[in-house]
Amino acid sequence: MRAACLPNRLRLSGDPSFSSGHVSECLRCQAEAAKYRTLLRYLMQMRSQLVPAPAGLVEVVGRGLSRVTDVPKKSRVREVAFAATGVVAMAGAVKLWRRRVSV
Amino acid sequence: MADRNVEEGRELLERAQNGDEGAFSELVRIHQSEVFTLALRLLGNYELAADAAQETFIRAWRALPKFRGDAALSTWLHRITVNTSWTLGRRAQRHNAADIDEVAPIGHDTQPSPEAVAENAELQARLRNAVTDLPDAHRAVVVLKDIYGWSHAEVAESLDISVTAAKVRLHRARKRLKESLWREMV
Repeated sequence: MRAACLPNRLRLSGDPSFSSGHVSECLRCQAEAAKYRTLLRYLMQMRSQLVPAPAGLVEVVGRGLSRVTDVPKKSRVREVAFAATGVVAMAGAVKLWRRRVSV
Repeated sequence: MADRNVEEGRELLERAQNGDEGAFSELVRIHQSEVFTLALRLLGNYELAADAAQETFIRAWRALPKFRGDAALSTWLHRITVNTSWTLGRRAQRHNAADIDEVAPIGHDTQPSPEAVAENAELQARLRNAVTDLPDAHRAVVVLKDIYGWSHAEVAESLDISVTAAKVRLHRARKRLKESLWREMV
């Protein structure tokens, strides 16, 4: 390995598309770059290779759901938000009324 | 057809967000393999990955009302899977629950696509084992960055490390994968 190969190899593992004047002239570095490109291609292919989930996962999760009782429903969240807004508005109105009464 | 699937998915999601357990179970059925595969790739252990997938869906159910749909449901589930797997993985390490002999090589049950078989099934299998053999911290970065296409920033945030640390781990992991693959082939 030539001295110029080392920094390029360090960069190749982080950025396989990296190329420089040295790489274009160095067969060793070109071979190295090709390996990294192949590695990345195979890794990307693994994305679409799904492993079947264990049988019965849906049922196990379903049983788990019924034990989870503290789930705020989306509609209930909305109701709480409306109620909170109402309380704040009421408090503001009472404050205004008191100020008027005291004047 | 695709539009109808999207529409059905949206409807299921809305029903699940309003507490419909049946609708949520249907979402679990749709996403279970994807979630389990990610957990298995991150943890390298079939039993732990099954636990992580189960826990992921329970956490998703709890957090579902807060899901605003800014990202795709699968992306959101992936993030929960990563957090859950990370937590379970660390817990297992602490309790020494992960017996090295029981660690199943990733993808034993995988049916590789015909293209992958044609290209190089042996190298694919070797790569799956090499990924499994990586140290946990390195494996997580490779899985998220190189297999799932996350950005360095997303990986760093998800694993609670700096972007520089994520890059360093990725560099070391790729180097190790390359060496273990091509050393065996020579």
